[in-house]
Amino acid sequence: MRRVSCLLAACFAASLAWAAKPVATALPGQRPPPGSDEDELWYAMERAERELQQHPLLVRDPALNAYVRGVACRVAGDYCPDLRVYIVEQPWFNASMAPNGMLVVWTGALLRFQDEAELALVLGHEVAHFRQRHALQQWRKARNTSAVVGSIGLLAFGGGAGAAGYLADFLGVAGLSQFSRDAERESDRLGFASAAGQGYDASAGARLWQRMKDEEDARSYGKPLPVFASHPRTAERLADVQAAAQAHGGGSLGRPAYRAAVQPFLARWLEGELSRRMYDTSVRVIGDLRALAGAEREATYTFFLGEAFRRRGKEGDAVRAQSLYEEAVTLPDPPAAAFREHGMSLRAQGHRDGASAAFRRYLALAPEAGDAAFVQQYLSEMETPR
Amino acid sequence: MTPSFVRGAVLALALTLVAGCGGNRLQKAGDATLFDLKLETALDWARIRAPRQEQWTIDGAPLNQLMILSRISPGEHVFLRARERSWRPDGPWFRAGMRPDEVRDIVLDGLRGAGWANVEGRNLRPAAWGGAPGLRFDLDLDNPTGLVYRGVVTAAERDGRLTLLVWIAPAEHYYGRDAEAVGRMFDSLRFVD
Repeated sequence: MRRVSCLLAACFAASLAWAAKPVATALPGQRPPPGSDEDELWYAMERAERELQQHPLLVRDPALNAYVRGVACRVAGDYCPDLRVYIVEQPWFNASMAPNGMLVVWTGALLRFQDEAELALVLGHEVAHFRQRHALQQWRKARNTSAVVGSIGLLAFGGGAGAAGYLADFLGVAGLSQFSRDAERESDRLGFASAAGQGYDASAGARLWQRMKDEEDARSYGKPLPVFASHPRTAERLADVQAAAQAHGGGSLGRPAYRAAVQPFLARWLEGELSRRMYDTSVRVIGDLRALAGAEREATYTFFLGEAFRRRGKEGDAVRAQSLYEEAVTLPDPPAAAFREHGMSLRAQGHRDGASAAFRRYLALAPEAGDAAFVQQYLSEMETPR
Repeated sequence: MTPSFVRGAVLALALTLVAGCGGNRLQKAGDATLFDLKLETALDWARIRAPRQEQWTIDGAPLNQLMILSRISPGEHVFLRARERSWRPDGPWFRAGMRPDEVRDIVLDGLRGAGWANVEGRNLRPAAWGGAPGLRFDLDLDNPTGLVYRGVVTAAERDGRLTLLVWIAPAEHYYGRDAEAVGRMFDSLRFVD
């Protein structure tokens, strides 16, 4: 704590000296002047980054990291060498940029993106925060306001206090990642220009923000999505991105590449989505994904939408879930668990033969399933003569 | 240290203080009775007691901890942390008649909510508590600083209420040292009147 206090005091003092200076756009490869408040910010963030590098929730898959970094570099251009991209296993929609070039993307965002154009737009937005040095501006502004309290989160994290909980608080919700609305608008504009300049579909933002708004509208409890905590009003933002898309027009979606990159993680991320235990929004999120799914993913989304309904358990949800399981097992390449749940539905309805067949199919597809012993028990119970 | 872990530590401290009223004690190897349970242990434990829950440990909670939670009612958090409220219907609340995989899932989500990372359940299987049907599964999880833990969970429902035992230890040394003895201890679990 003493270490954090010293860091805070040093940073605060440095900020006073630098407060009056205007913030110029960062140049590629530029580091802060030694002893400056920005230097202190970078120092704190570098310590935070070292902790993040050891964090158990960091996704280390080389192929996925290479893909996301590749897209980040496309929109970052000359700033690419200044960035380090980290993917963190957190099921909420969020991405953040630290002042030192530490770009963090949560798996909840990767689940929700439908194509590379949407990923590029969000990464472009985050890169713009770095390029425009918004964190430094925010820090200097914060020192004279009550918002300075929020910035202490940065120093506490950088001072060695960080861990899983602070990951959520700091990297997405609190501290300097809450840029001003003007900074967010500027990053929207620059991020759009970067993505569109690389040939990405100009309407990606309109689609993405509409879905995010729909998800937020579906939320019946809990905190707002982190991304809504500081960003401009969604309606305002939607209008901006729609106008920009109309003015620009066209572009590539990059859907096949995006789908190939995230395919190996889809089931895990969908399980993560359900583990949030916010089923109203999960129904919306997975329903949106299913609506736009290609044939190769339809069974997966259909099954997980059934799971969201079953776990929510509102009136009529059990019937909806049963219907979705029944559909999922008829689609190409269904998840093994779809047969288990279809079997559970049939068993509950007294259809022993159908249930047995579904359970057997489940065990054939997933002989090492984590719950195989119970499914075997259900089979034995059903197949034992009365 | 995460806020969730800080809350957990505060809870553990509170448990310790409350336990002072109920009387902490050593549990020598042999038979033990607690709540409406009876079990046999080959290990010596320190028992920290509180209403409807106890924490047992051999070397200190970070190195091995057995959480025993008794008679969790429908609508209660699986770790007795809260009760269901109408504005938060989807939490890891116990409900009578849950499927074994649903009980497993509320335990896993409860652990995630307590700050554990990469929480996974394996090998869910039937495990009778005497004549009462129960379940057991294995745990893999990391603490917030990345230390790898393993564990075993067993649970059984009786009269619409859940009794739960969660044993967790670092994968290195401590899990392997005691896993077999804890497994035998779980095998011996019985409800008593």
